[in-house]
Amino acid sequence: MQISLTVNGRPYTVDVEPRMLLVHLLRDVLDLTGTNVGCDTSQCGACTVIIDGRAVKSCTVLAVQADGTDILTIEGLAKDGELHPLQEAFWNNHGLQCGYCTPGMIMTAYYLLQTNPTPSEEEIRHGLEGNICRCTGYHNIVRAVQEAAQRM
Amino acid sequence: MAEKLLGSAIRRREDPALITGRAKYTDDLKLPNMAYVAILRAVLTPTRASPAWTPPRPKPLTESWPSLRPSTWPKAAFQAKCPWAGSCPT
Ligand code: FES
Ligand code: FES
Repeated sequence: MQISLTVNGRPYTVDVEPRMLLVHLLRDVLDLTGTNVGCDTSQCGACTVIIDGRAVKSCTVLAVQADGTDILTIEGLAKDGELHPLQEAFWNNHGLQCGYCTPGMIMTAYYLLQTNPTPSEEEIRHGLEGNICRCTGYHNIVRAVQEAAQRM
Repeated sequence: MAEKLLGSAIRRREDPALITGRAKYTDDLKLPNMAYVAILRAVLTPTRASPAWTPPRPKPLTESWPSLRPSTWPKAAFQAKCPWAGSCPT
């Protein structure tokens, strides 16, 4: 099936199998491997991207469902070589170790800050509930989101 | 800033790639003629694959990478230790 979508500001028209997941379209067809697959069962959030302004686990969406949408992935966050405040804040606060969960964490945090620019610690923890990190213990991730909220 | 190195947090040099999605994990590798392997496991735990059994052959990715089946495995693959030693059908 042919679908058209915009990813990180770039328009694409691609032919996809009806059963292809959006995450595989991004990773295998568009070569945007920054979006990771951690579980394939919609639990870990490593595959989170922004679809039309909302954070979505891209392993839960068929590529064909993304027809006509505007998608933002981790690769599209930095503008003109300038890191996004969230990326800076994750770096500054040791909000990552292996980094596998990080693209998903950052995209979910991005959505959180769009909808709630000044979240409390509890709201941050609640907002990131769908994202699992096996390394950091979450403390520094929360700190990173707090710092980014202040800088944005 | 050498005097501050000890006891202070270091800015990690690997982070720029990790926070921008440029980092490469094993799952991101694409090599020429790369093939994927899927292992079909036994449905029942105390069973062993028999050389006589042939699984349904999945479509090979390319002509040069046919699917493997027990009859093409080395003999040693069937000699794996069985927890029910002695009572396992061979
Ligand atoms: S890979 Fe999508 S939630 Fe884990
Ligand atoms: S940094 Fe390793 S899983 Fe989060």
